[in-house]
Amino acid sequence: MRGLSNWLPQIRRNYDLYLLLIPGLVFLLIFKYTPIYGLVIAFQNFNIFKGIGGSEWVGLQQFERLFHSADFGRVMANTLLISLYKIVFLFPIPIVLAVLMNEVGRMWFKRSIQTIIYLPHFLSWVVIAGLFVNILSPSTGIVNGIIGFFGGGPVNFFMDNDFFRSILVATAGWKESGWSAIIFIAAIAGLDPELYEAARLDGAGRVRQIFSITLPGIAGTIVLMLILRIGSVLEAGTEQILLLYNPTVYETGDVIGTYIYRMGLTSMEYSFSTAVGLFESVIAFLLVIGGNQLAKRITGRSIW
Amino acid sequence: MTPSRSRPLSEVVYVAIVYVVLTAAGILCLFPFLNVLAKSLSANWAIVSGKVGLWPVDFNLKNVGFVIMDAMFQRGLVISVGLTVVGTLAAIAMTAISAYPLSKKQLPGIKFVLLLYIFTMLFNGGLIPNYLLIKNLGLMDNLLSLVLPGLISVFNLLLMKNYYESLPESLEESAKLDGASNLRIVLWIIIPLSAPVFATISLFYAVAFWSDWFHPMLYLNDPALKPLQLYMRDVVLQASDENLMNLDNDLLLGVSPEGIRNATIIVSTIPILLVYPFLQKYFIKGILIGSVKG
Amino acid sequence: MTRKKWFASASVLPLACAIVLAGCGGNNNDGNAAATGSAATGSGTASQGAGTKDKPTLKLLRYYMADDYNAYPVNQFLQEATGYKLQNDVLPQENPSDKLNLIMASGSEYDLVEAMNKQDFFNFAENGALTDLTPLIEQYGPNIKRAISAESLAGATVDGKIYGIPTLNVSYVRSDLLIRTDWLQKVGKQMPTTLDEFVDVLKAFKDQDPGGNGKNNIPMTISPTALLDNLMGAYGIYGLWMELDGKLVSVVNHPALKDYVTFIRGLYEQGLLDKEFATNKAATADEKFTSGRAGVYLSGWSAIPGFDEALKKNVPDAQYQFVPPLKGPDGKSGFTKNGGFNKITFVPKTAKHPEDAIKLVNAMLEPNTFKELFIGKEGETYTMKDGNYMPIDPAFFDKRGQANAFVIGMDEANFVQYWQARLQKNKPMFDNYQLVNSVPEDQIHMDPLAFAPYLPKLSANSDKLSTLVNDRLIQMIVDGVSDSGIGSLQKAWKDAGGEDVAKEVNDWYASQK
Repeated sequence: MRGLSNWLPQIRRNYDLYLLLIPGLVFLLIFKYTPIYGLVIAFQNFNIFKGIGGSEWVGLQQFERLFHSADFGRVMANTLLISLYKIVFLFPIPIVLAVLMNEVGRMWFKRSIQTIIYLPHFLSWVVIAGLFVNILSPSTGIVNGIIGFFGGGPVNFFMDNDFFRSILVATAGWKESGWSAIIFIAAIAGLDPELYEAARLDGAGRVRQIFSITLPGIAGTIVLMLILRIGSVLEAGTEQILLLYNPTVYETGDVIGTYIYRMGLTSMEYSFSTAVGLFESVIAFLLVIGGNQLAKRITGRSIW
Repeated sequence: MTPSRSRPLSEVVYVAIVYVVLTAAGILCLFPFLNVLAKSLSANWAIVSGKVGLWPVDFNLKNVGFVIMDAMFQRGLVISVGLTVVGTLAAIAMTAISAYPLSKKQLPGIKFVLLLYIFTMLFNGGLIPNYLLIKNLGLMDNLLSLVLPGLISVFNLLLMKNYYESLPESLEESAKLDGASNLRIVLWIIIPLSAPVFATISLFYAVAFWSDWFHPMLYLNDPALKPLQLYMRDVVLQASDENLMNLDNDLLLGVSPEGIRNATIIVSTIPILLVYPFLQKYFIKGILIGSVKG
Repeated sequence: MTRKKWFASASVLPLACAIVLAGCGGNNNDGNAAATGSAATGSGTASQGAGTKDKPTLKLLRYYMADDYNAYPVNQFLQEATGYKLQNDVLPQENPSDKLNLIMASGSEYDLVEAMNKQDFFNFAENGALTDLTPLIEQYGPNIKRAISAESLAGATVDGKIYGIPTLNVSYVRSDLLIRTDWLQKVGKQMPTTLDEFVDVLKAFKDQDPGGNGKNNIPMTISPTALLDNLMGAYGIYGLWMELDGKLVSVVNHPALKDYVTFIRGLYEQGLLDKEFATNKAATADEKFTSGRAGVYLSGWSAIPGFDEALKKNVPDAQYQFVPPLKGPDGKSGFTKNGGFNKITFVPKTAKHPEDAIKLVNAMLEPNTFKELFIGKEGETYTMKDGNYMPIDPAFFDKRGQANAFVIGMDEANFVQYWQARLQKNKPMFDNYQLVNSVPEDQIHMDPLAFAPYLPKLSANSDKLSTLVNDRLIQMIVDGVSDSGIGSLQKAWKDAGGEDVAKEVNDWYASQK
């Protein structure tokens, strides 16, 4: 009650701010919350012709089907490992790129590099997979050519379980790092130049300025991006892996998305694919909530 | 930014490292694009036999010409450009307005609304209810079905909100003391200061509207409405591995040659690539908060 | 909360309505359909152009093709010949079944819809989403009854009612090993006729490097598939299912499977089979053959036009042809023949003009209309030569190249002959098509399931099972073959539902005798 009496004057004073919320809430209601009833088909054996009302309820059967499928353990482990590697190795790269970009004085150079490093984002995995199969080919690929030049034997990267995950991480990093850097470049651009000026007067070197001004300045963005990235830990890159893997590397490369695809469960198995999606959503939700709390405690910054 | 006359050696080395690393990254990222470009300008036989690297072999403009002259391509281009421009403008307006109140976390109820947004980022009803929604709204075979559901991307909303939060409180407070309403503050103080984040999210929205092929595939049946990306995806996927097994052999006789596939990729990617250099100045300049303050 | 519920039910409602309305849809249409019906019968086939005004625009939902249906010359021809205006919408290239399901379940207004997939068709029929065509064909479909055999129609029949118009596919041997005959000459070998001779040739390709490729020389390359046409035939394996002692047996339980995989594994181990085959994309495998690095390549004849030009540019005196059936250790040999339905076209229950839809199909199957739809006019798009239809390039390919996408039902007596015209576009393709399709009948083994009706377990599991088999066999070719490996393949196959499918398939097969 006391809360309420505190709230009302605040709301009254800022009523125009609350009005600004309305278009967004209408949008949410129509396009996001109206269709959300569809999640219940995860607990059904959904027949599209009978609709939700007419389909049979099966409880948790669809989830059991996922957890009890033959290769679930391996697939789950691969998913987590590949995602984890991608986060650990790839999350910092765009930040480093953005920071380095900020150190560049020559405009033409800065502009060209920025424009170039985001190009790979626009090529589809179909195209990129074809390119990398050529580059890494044991017989004609340039990488094995270099290895051969230094006296090493050819490595069949795509058939070697020791290398496959590294290839996934490297190709994903190469495709998306430049694109992801844009967010940090923009965040840095938003920093007040006076801060740098002041630091310079204090005699801080360029490296010191990075740690005392640039990084703290974009910490909010970094935390936001990291929390969201951790939330998508169960999406290890299905499209990428589907186009890069082959039966000899299922042991290390098969993830939830590819497994379900190969089992032919993506089409027409509406209930099962919804169940898998719901499972991923719940995990993501927990991770995002947890990540937010953790970030709040450690850095004092959080999404909400 | 201007080079000073007496730089310490350590700084020279440092700058050199920065340039080397970025140049290396640039080369790595440029290479595949050059390869696709070279293929789009090469004869089919040379591509099929793996002869094309970074330079065209048996140079010709036939592939590019063929793509550009194709009626389905031209129609798709017009639709995509229109869709992207309209969609991006509408989405930016919507996001900029919706994000501002969310940056005032201390106000009652705001955190709850924020959670409402974030929830939809992680949970969605799936294919069937979304399809039925569009059908019930009467938007099937209507380009609005591609714009309306994309008006707010929660990710962009959060970026925007984050940026608003990073602006110094003092700005708004002084305006409030002058008796400005919240709306005035947004329109005259906040938005003019938000060039970098506007540039970022307009890029993200433009790319999202431009590259969307899934929703057009779902909501459009009339081939005359097909945007460019759906057309491109069809051309590129036609001979990809998985599809080879499913397609009837007869149909395979119509597979487009490699040169045309690569030309399609290049020609349909270039328009969106042009957006970035145009927005770039807003990333680089930074903003002079001090001048606004004064 | 309540509002949300309201929204939810508002969106579910149409689903229910679609089903309810499906029942009354027919009644609504009866009035105007009868009217148009009499008009069309009155005008007859000869002067159909006159009746255009009375005829409705028909909406068709088509399968994906690269060209625009509505702008393609065949569409113009069909509108003139039948008097109906046709609006063709198109399913997406990717996962067409998903979208087809959505469209059908939410009440479709299309008059004719194509399914490439038997499973979808039977699913719709069983859920009451289709119009029973039996009386319509009886009344308006004399050409349909004449052109399409009773056996074919039986393939689109559920509970004694015809729900679809089946379009027959050409049955043919699809792929075989292409061999560089100029390499054969260079190493002084004859065209192999047995597996031993074949291995001998590959060894000569490897040791003598007739292409002068040095370390990049590849005796034989393939896409990442494990069941290789011709080679598996030498072990009496003709695909995923075959008849053994009157029963249908899956390849995983074929007694010769281990010997076959061991043989391929041997090729791989000795460096006769491309070391990188498991990572090949279709394009990389093509590349190895067209750049002149590979001596043998497993390929379909339809792919030949795609790389013939490239190979000739890279190696001007290159010669190649399909290898005839190779005899295995027990004297077995043979190719696998594919066939069945290309698609089944049906009339949704909610269609606006069911009678006109059938009249359209009937008009399309009128023999001369069908012929002109399929290959055009003599002298304009084709000529006759020695009883064969020869295409006029480029008119034929511009105006009729995609004609088979427009067909609804085949003039089954004639279409194979018409169809071959398009193969003449490329001589190497035509010659090699002839080569593998003119071997003695006993060397050609029809896929026993090609004309099977809808078998639910088979439909649901066949892709999964074939992926599983292919994956496991590739692993064995790369890592080694053992009894336990075969055993675990059999077990995995069984666990994935293989046993149930085998039972279902055999029950059907037994009922056929």
